[in-house]
Amino acid sequence: MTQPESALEAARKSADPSLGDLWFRYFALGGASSTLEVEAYRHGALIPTVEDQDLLAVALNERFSELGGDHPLPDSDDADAADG
Amino acid sequence: MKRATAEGINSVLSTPLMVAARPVGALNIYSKVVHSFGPSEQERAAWFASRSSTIVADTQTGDADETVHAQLTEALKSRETISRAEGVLMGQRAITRDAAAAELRRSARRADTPMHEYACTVIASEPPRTVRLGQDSP
Repeated sequence: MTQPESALEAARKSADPSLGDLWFRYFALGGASSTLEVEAYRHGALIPTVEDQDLLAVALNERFSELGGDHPLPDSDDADAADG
Repeated sequence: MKRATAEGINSVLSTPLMVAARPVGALNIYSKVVHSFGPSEQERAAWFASRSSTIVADTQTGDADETVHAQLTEALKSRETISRAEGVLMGQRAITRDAAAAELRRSARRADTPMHEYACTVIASEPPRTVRLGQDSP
């Protein structure tokens, strides 16, 4: 089982949205952290709350979908996530 | 250059348009006269280019403002839709906001639909209610 932080980091590298794009997606989903905090989450300098972690995962997954990919990032309470 | 000469152009003075130390374009001045641009012409072109750069920079800032404005408007609409859908789920299933948010994320993911789109369908699933104040409804 991959750790959420490293999965988030790996997904970030492969989808590589700009900080502005990621933040706007996260904010559109209801996120309340600043761009600086989101940048810190991306680099592992700050640990996001479970809610923020989930919102960032959704933001990245939605970007993956737009690029024609799957949803590689699990939701914190989604037991089926590992199965795809 | 041959083509320029054929068009009757014999001198070109090109001055960069700089914004925040980055070139964003060039001011090109053409002349039919050979060796038309001496130091004083170059100086005047540079003066004009620096003023033009300011206008270009202002225009670019305006474009950026407009983009941010559009993104924010879109994001706020999405937030409101998601928040309303959470409210609908809270009412329908008697669950907390956190549980409603998790349910919305999970369902959108299973439906392979962006969350704000899924939120729209949740809101649409809620039948409209008539609220009467100050009197009993039958």
